[in-house]
Amino acid sequence: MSGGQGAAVRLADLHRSYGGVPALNGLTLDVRPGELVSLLGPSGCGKTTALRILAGLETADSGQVLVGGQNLTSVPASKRDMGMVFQAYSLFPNLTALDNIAFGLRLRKVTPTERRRRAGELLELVGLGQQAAKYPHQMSGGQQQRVALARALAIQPKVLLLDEPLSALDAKVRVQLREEIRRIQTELSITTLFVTHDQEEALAISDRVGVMSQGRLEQLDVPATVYQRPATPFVAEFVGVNNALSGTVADGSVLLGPGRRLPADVVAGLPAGSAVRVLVRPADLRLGAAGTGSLSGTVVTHSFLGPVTRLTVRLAGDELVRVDTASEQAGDYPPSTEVGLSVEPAAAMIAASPPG
Amino acid sequence: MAAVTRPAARRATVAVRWMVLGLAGVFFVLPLYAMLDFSTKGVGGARDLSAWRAIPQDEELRGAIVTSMELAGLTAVLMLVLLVPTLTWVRLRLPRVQRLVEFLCLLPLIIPAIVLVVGIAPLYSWVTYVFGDTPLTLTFVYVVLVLPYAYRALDAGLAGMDLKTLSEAARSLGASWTTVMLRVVLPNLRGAVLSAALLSVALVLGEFTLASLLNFQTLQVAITLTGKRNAALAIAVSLAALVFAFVLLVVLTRLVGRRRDGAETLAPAAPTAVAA
Repeated sequence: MSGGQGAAVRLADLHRSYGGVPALNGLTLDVRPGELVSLLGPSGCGKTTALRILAGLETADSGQVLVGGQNLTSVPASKRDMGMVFQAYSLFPNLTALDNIAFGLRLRKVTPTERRRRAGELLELVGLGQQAAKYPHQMSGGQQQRVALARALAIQPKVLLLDEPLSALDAKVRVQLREEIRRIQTELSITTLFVTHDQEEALAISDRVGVMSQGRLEQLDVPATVYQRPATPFVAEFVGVNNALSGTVADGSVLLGPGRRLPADVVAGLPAGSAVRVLVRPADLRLGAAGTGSLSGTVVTHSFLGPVTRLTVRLAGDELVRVDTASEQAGDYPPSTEVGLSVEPAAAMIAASPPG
Repeated sequence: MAAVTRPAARRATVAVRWMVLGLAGVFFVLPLYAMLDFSTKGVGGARDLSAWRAIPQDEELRGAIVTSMELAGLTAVLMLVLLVPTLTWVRLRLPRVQRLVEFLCLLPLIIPAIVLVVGIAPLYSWVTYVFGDTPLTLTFVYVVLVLPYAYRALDAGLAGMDLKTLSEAARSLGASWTTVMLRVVLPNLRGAVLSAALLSVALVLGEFTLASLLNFQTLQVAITLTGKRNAALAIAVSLAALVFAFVLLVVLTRLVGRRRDGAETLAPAAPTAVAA
């Protein structure tokens, strides 16, 4: 397999609605050649619709699809040269792994010898060199998705489209396969659009992550920026685990209740007394002995997550917040312990009006 | 306690199964045996195969057998050409008309053959004008007749596969709709296609009313006429037709079974009974 297959992708002002309900609402997205961009968002945000329009499996009501500068908006799916891996297992049940991979090559009139050679090479690439003669029903879900990936790559597509290909797999296989996808994508430098609702997956393997909501792109940036500097309240709430705390602006901080103050740089410009909601990640809250820090509360539960333990703390105002602390220190704060909490003023991320 | 009663209960279940199977076997085999006995009975109770030997020599019967075989083949092919793409298209593109298509396909079940003939007779004067006065024109009406059975077999086959994902996967790899039909849908619908074809063949081989009322000489019409002059010959031909349908069924079952060993077919199993 040769590398450098990447082509630039541009989705320009795409609109699509189903029975009057908009699925895409002016989506514009640019993917650079050889880049892996993930579209992340909740169910119904339009990410799969965008992918399917790019693949030619759906048509947009308006807008344009450009690949490598070529307008493909009205080109049928069969002529777009895009490899796609689906959420559902999509291998042809009547064909072996090798024949599945060779399917696209056969349609392109590649000679049988060359077909076998390339299909075999791709099977090796996805680590299934010994499974060539197996039929889909003789393979596990993870193996089937690997073969589907090899099949999509076999035609040397301009763009690789991945529509939640890992969602049907168990956690361990999912992590393994996503790393393999990233390895292969980097090796081949193939432009890839990856649709997922799993933020960990998107943050782990993408060059850039696009967070979508209601048919629009809320933010498109590198994973660290999306996580650390979310552009909108929606992104902040959707990406990562957050504690949402509501109060009123008072002197560069958020007053949660009498005597309970959360320092937050992000509210600096807001008029005093206005209602706000700020988000603080569990890792940004620091635990201390009772009486230390700007907030106090009582530990309710512990959840062991490996290197960190997540504690649920009930604040004096009855709000529940999650606090991540190193697992070896978590034992110092058993349930029912009175604790103090502090937070860096820069950690509170976004200020938005409280709901309702 | 449970460990003691479970094997006993299992033995009882197995015994009941064998009893039912035995009764069913007697029910089906006894008439066939009677037919074989009657068609081979000679003078004074001796065995005589003259009725069986007469089958290939009877020109009228031979012609009718050929006609019926041609009709069976044509009907199966035309039915598949019509139904497979239609049902595939409806499932993929027009799911809202699925109920309507099902209703239309099942209509021949509730319309008596005599009503069908009364309705179709005027149409057939036009059909014979265009295609000539050949019994093969019965293919058109037979396709209508086999619709309900073929529809059920094919619909179950299509329901058993993820048609949308498979066709989209094929299209994204560069397949045209024709290629999707020939290389993706049909191979994975093999069992259902074979079932539908077998049902059609069995139905056509056993059909009498339409052929008789439209004045065409098919196997069943010829058997009826032969029965008036040579009962043993008529019974021998009937039994041969039954055995033929049975052999077809066995071949089909083996084909589907062999397929299952190699690749998971998503179509339903072959039908267990054949109308002949």
